[in-house]
Amino acid sequence: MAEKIRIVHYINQFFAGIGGEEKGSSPLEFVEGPKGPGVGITQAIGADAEIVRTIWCGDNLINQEQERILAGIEKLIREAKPDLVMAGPAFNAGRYGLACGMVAKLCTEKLSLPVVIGLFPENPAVEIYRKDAYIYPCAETAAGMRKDLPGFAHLALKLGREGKLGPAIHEGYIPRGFRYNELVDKSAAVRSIEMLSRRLKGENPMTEVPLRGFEKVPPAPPVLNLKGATIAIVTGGGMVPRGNPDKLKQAFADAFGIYSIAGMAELPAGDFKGIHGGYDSTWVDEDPDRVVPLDALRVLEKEGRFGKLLDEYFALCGIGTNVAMGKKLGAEIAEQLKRREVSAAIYTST
Amino acid sequence: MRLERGYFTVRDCTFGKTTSLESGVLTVNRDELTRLLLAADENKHIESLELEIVKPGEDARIVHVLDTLQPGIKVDGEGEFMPGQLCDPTIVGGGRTHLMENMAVMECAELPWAGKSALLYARDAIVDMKGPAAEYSPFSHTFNLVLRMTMRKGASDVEYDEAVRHAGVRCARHLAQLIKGATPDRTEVFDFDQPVDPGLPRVAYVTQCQTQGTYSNTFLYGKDVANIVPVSLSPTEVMDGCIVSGNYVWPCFKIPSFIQANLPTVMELARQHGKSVNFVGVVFDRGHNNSHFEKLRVANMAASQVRRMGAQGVVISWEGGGNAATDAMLTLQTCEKWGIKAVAFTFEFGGPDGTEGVLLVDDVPEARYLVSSGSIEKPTTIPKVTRVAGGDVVRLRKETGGDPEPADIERTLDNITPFYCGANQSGIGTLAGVGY
Repeated sequence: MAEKIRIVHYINQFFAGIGGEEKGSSPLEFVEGPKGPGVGITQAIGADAEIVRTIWCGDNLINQEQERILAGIEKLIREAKPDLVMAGPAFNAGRYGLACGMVAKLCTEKLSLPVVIGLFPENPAVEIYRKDAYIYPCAETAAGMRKDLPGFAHLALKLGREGKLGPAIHEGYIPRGFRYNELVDKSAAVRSIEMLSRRLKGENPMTEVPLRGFEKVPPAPPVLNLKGATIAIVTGGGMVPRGNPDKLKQAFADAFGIYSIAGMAELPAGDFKGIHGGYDSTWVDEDPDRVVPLDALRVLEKEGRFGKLLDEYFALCGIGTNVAMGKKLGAEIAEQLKRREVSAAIYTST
Repeated sequence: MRLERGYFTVRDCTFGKTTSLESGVLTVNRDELTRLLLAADENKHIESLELEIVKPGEDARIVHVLDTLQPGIKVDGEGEFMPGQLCDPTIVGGGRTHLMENMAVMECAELPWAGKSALLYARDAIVDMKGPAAEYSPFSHTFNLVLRMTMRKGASDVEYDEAVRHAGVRCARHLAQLIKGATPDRTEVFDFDQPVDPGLPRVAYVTQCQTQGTYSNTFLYGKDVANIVPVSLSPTEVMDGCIVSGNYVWPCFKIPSFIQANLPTVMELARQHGKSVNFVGVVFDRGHNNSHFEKLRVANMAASQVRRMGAQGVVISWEGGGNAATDAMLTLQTCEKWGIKAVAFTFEFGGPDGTEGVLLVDDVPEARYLVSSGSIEKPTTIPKVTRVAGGDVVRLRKETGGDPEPADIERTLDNITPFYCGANQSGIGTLAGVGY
């Protein structure tokens, strides 16, 4: 039989029996052995592991004096030479949840120790610390303690034994945000039919691709004085000077190009070329103004419908670019446009 | 419709004096078949054609992969397997069809190379028969008869496209003659004529293909589907090859003809039909519609077909990248709006560790039940191989025009787009993005 897995357990002043809100500033303390929820955890993990030290601190104190208290916790953890650290469960408690997250981050970043914390899935600390710890999804309040402790303890025990855990969906922790390609036991088609069958039975199966957030982009205010406006052309249609001088990627854009149109009445065919990897560019190569409408804008400029056209246009290939990169490139283009005192831009896509 | 499918399992494939299939060993008379295929190419667009055999587990890489076909033949019932391809577009799906299993005919040529359009820039489709990239393609598990072709200069894209497809179809038909009168190793029956328990859940499947012009087209009963409206098909006519692929652009996003005739969602639902589900039919449409208006129109009309079938649930999948995702997501949204429960499977992004950016290229709030067919943003190192089939070089750097580079060397690719079928959009593979 291998040696017992040594666990250090972090809790707050309430679960250490010091007191509630009014004792939120109570100092960092510890005891050798389990305390509070650690007693239940000890029962659940059985003979393979033991809580060698329990550390607690007032929730207000650790949140207000993070650096000092975490240094103290680091020292107390190091002394105890644990194989694993547990914190919580903090259920939906805000400051206690954050305290557990801070301890987790300390273990991951400074101590290279595996760590499991227990939080209600909607506890704000989940979003902040999900990458730093395996988070066991607990009930919303301590009323769920009895039900939560065995699962929490077993997740910790498994991590302690194996040093790492399998996929979130199998192990039961809250996904940390990492996703890797793996071969699973059934094809995507078969899994889709199974997921649909469960929905048709009125069940609520777990989606494999986690739900994504939706962001609303507010429209920019209208240009009030068009006569004095400088207008720029930005295109995601991949129209670049012949030879693609900036070697812009045909897809999965990670950069954009800025090209002169000073003195040009239109984009001459042959001098400009569509390199976008997502559509047949035969017709825009035939007449590049079809994607960068310089000819039409020059007419409007001459008619005095707006102040002037910027002497350069911006180009990239809008295809397959993930949203984060899209935002980055968008912000950089906007910055460049502002620097050129552009009042409005026309974005042409394909 | 009632279709019997007789399967002949190919256990090995070699070249020999005669073309035959004996005890699972397919022997191909190389010279005879080469002559036959070149002679049939009436307009002489194919300059050279060499047959190669590549086996599962071999230390080999296949490059320039265009379409892949399954040798199959109708032995009873109307029409021909792959109707409309060098034959009449007669409605299929009834009677009996014989098919080779584990055996694929693979068209390989340096196409597209006309280079007139960016979409058609040279790019390469790779199948590794072993190693870390093998699982990206179902064709690392099949015996592949590779038609390694070079094209004669001076023809148009349309002519090249037709020449390679016809060579592949002819080759598959030639091999399928061997199994016409023979007794299959096993038979499956798909009977949609029998009444089913009315209590079974009614399920449809929407398969949205890619069609963006020559080299990125899909054919239905022999004609490209650029102007198609969503149409309902019986599962058995899909199994008889009424959908043929001419999609040679993004390698990871292709669904070759072989898989079109064996769409795993169709096969699985058909096998469960009358037992656990009532499979009410397949809706086939195209993605990459040009404008938001056209996308909405197709989504509404596809969902309308699903509703007309009386489906309570639907599986939706698509071929192609972000543009196509929009059409499919709008279809899903419309189905859900009408109370039809929808599940889709899709590739995802996320970068090497899954934390970068947003996972999907397009999305709707109704897409709450999605199966992952894996991330395409995973760097993959492919090893040096001793043999390269289909060509000598790979053309990977599209932004510089796909300059040829040695195909056999070890190299690291920053994403999996060059791997044939790598995005697993037919759902055939077990690759999945798994959350940690």
